[in-house]
Amino acid sequence: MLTRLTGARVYDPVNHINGAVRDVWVRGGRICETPQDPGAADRTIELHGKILMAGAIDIHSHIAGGNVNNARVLLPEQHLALQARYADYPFMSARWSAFDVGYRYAEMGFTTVVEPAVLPLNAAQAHAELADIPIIDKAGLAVVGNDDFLLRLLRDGADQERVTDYIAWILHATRCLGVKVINAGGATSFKLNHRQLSLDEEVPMYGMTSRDILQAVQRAVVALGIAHPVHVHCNNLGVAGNVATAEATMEAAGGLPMHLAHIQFYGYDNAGKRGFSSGAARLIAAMNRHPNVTIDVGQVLFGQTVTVSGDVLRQFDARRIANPAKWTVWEAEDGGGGVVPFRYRERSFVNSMQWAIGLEIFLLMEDPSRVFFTTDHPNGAPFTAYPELFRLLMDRDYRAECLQRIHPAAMEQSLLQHLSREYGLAEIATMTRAAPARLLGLPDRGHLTPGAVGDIAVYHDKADRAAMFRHAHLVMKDGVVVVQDGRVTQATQGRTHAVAPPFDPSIETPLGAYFDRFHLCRLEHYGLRHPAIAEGLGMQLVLH
Amino acid sequence: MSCAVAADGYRAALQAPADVQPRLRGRPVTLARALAHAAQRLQHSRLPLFSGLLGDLPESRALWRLAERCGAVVDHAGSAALCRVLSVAQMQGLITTSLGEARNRADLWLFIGEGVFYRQPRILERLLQPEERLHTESTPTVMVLGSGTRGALPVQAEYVNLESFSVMDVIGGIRALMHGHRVDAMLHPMTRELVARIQKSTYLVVALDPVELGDSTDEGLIDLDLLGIARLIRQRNEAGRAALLIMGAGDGLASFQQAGLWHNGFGLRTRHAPEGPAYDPLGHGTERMLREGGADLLLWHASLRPVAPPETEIPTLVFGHPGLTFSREPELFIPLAVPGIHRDGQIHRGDGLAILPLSAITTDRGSNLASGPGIYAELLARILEEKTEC
Repeated sequence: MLTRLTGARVYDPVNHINGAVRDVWVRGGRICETPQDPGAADRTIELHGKILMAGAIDIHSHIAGGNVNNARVLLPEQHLALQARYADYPFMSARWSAFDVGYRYAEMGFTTVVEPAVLPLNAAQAHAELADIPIIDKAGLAVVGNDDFLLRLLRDGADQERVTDYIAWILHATRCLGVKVINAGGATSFKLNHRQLSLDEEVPMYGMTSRDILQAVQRAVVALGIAHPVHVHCNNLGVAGNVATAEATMEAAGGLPMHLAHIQFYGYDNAGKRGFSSGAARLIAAMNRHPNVTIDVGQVLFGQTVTVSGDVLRQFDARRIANPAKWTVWEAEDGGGGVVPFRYRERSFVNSMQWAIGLEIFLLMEDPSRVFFTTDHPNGAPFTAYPELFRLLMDRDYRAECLQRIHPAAMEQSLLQHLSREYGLAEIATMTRAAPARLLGLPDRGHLTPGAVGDIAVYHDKADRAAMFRHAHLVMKDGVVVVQDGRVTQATQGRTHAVAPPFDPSIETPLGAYFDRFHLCRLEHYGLRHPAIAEGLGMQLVLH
Repeated sequence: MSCAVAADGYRAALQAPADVQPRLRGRPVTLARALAHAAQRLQHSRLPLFSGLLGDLPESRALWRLAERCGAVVDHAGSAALCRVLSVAQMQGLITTSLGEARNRADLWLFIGEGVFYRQPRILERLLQPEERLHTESTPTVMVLGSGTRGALPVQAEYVNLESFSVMDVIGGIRALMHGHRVDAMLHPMTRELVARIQKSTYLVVALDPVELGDSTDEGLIDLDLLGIARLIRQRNEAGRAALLIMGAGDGLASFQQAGLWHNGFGLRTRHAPEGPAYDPLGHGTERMLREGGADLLLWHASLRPVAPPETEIPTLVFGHPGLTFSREPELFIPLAVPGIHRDGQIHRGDGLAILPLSAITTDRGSNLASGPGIYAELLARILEEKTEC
């Protein structure tokens, strides 16, 4: 089927199209060249006055895996997506289900989402769940940095090549698109009754620092040639003064690619009588010194949510601020996690500062291709609150109104009152389409070049940008119309993307011995290595 | 040493007659006829109950989808104890550990009840007596808080006989002493010793098969026991490390609970009402649904082991193990391939973290048996297409 999308204003930064009215053609699930004869279209969709972009991409959203399920268990009374339900696709009325995730993302024009914390032990479950998320394409990032095998390699002075083989093996065993380091050594330290770990503190029993672990993983990722740089959840999340940790981590990157996740939670300086102030300007200055570094924001938006993190050490520390007052911490081989419900309140000075700092980072960061649009779902806010964030970035009058409602001391301190920048549609298209595709190494999306995947989002050009982005006018996934007038019209199945870099298979000899000595399962039963697992999860795997 | 429980399961599957046919009201029928009947029953049921659920992950995923379409309540035969633990988690949260971490890190085990030593002999051997552990060459101390009714334990352990005390008494006493409170109530004679051991430990694992608390006739007491244990663990973590290890989630319970959570947001004991899932961890228990007449149809799934459904007056459709026998023939029986015997499968480890492969060990015998996931997908398709004429 040849489809012509005609009349819309197109935003496609990769092809330098900035609001020009263009036709976009789709055939066989892909964008195609304009045919010689425009009359050849099997179907023409009139989109006059509408805005057309490639499907949006979310690089960091906790949508699957055991920790998300733990949050569901802990909070049966809490649902993170409360829109009215309609129609009858599977589990459409089941809020906060895997199915709900796919439907809600698709309604907003998102077509690819990355689960950033796949614990290798739990990888099969994460993939089963990802496979059940309808419509969108998915990928996972494998969590390393608290794995005892890796720490033993480093303690024993193994060659970097050995470490690199191990990281490649992990990617193979977990079918992930990249690797993530969560507070390197932090979960291990917590198991050994340490309550804090900074970049240059030694991990007990192992003798190397968190920095050593991070750098070894980073070098491995670079050596393997994986597109997505090491994805880092730094030490000291949420601690006043931790902007220094973010700066030190950028320095530690040594000029090599590194992505720092939910950087808002590290944008905290410790000035002022409350000992808590914005570090956004310092962060941006550091970003300007380190062009090798990218960030996503992890914006806080006011309301009830739940924090879900593999940083078990910091989650345990957050137990006293749980709201409602209940929380879960769990430990597992090579990691762990914690679930702490939380309500961000405008009346709270700290929460108001967090809200403002996130926005400051977005607005101070000049290059929209190095800063990514996230709330660290659900940690800063559920992804269903994205429309609100689009409006805050694109509408300074609305932002000024909101600023009046936050804690007065935060309002007074915040740079926001001096920031008049508004994101334009071209910058939004860069930040949510072109740049994330490049960062993830998914060259067939994020743009509308002929040959690209037929993932397309069309919006009404409403002055209220929240209303505009809440319900896309039309969404195509692989060339199939899946959303019309903001409602899902077809529940297709998306694909799962992963990388498979080669490695020296001799790594499996020490690994097998390690599993025999310390694990409850054999090496060949781990992760997705066994065919009965890999082939039985129902995912449509695409290896890059 | 092989696991006697697992060996029984294999034996039952391999000894089951290879030519079991679907039966409708006791008479052999074709699979197509059996499915048509099941589809018709499900379509016309006001409130079906899906229970048993001794199955693997692919069966779980297929059954959840069918349950949603049928508006079913879904519960697992062995979920009662788990649901008690979850209700405590939902009140205040838990600190838990995994089987593998407990094996590698615990220097002090405190078992609540001794029944688990008989129900899961092999897993305990692997947890408590590994040849090697991370960071330590010492073997852990094992303490068992029990009622002393089963004689000598099959493992080396220090036994704390509850005598006339309850679990809550002992745990409460430990907590009070750890808080430095003056205790007027009579303490179990081992309380001070237990406190000393806990305070000396580097990683305490409190191991609990929630079934062990099930003897109490007062369900409120069970929750108090669990709350006390959860609070003891939190208290210990203010100074040292401690975690709860929940044992006993066998027979596919973890696979049904985990998949349930991502399918409907709540997990087991959820009704798939048209306006959205309704979770009721007490009211949607199998026994109560049958006893109090909420359900008008029982779909019983038991492919992993030949466990027959409870006797009930409501029509019962059984999908399961070819070796199943019934004291009262159900309305419909469809024999299924056993995961890990007749077909490949996948199942969660008891702690719900890892998924393990179940590789088929025979392909000839029983090769005519239908696979659970396929059967449920077919039923769903029939119901969606309203192909329900019998």
